[in-house]
Amino acid sequence: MKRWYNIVKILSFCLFWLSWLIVFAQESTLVRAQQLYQAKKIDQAKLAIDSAIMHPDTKNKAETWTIRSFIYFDMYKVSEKLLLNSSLRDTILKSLNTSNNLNPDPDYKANNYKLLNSISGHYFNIGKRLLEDSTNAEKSLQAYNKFKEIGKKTDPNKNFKTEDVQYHLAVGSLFSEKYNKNNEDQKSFEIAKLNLMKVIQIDSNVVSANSNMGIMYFNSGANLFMSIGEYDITKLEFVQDNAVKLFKQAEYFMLKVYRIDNKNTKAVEALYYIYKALNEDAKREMFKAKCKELMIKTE
Amino acid sequence: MNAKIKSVFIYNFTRYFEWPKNKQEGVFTIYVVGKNDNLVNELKTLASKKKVGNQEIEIKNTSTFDVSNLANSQIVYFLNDATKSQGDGVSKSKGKGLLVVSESAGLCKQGSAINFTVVENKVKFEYNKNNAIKLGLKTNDDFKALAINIE
Repeated sequence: MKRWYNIVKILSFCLFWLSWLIVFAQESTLVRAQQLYQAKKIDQAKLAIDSAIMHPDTKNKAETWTIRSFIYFDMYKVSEKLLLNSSLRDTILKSLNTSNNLNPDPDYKANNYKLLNSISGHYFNIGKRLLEDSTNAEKSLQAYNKFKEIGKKTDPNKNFKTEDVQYHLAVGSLFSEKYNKNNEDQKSFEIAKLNLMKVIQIDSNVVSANSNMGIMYFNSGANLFMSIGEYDITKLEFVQDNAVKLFKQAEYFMLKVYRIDNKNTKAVEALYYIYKALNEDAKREMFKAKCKELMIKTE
Repeated sequence: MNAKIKSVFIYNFTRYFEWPKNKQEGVFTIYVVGKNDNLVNELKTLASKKKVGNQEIEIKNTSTFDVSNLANSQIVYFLNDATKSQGDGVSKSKGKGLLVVSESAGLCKQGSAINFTVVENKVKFEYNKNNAIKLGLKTNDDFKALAINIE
């Protein structure tokens, strides 16, 4: 009987040690992943951390997920940082989200936010870079919205006004330039208008947004005149009505620029041509004199 | 822009008047007195593409009024800087089948058949039918509906 008692005692002892070893093994996997990461052995670190997130003893620890984010971030920044769609980035974001939901201690929380801010910044850069080709405008907006969405996770009260102005001005300028090169490209006109007006709504004194709007409207009016062709005399009234409306819009935006800076050469020159198109001789002459003062050549 | 509109107007005027028989032959001459390169260029472009009936269009331009150009012209247009010559031009055009066009305030009351003006930022034109008749042109009543009428 005593012999059986001893066997059970030894078995229990072994079981205890076995389970301790298993826990320790998982804990050590986490530690090992961290060590491998610090040693820049990222591929091995990835294998270790992917094992740690599967195990019940480590999968509910915030640090496991934070460490995973950092390991994946190292891979991501080498190969996928500039991509709009990145599976590595998705993994990082999921891991950071899981970590934040597991109440990380302040150090891990700070690290999570640091990483979120980096990724948010990457999205901003992707959005800007995609604008190098106007056909990517929709993708660029996706990236920009991601930048804001992730940025809000670290600072829910952030208003993004500066970034909104910067981004929408970039889009608006790109498409207004495109429209000014081809006045039949109404789609570019609409995209430019939408973005520039967003800028003006945030800050009505942004000179280049007002200036771009003014130039676009002026070109629209001029284009209408140039397309007259051999219109019947009865249609000239209609063309002039619409052109005057467009020139008045151009005047509104250009006067705003002029009031902000009365030496702005673009505004002074544009106002000369706007008043010429509007047949307002006195104002045209006034801006002609200002053009002369600023050494701007007029026809 | 203004030049474009005026050139289209001027071309369209030719559809609403009838010139004497002797002016319906040869070249149809639009004589512009004064300086406005944009307008002259627009008219020349138009002349290169269009005809009045079967007549080719020719644009003549002098900075000062040259009466010798009236005899072979169908339209004489006194620009703003040539307003002073308009009275002389009108008196020498009476009964000769010349449409006198001008662009300074009040000239439709001083002999022009058509005078360009600006109303609410738009180019419009005043029309004096009696003057057109005195200048030797047959008129079309539809034209009155398009103009600011000056009696």
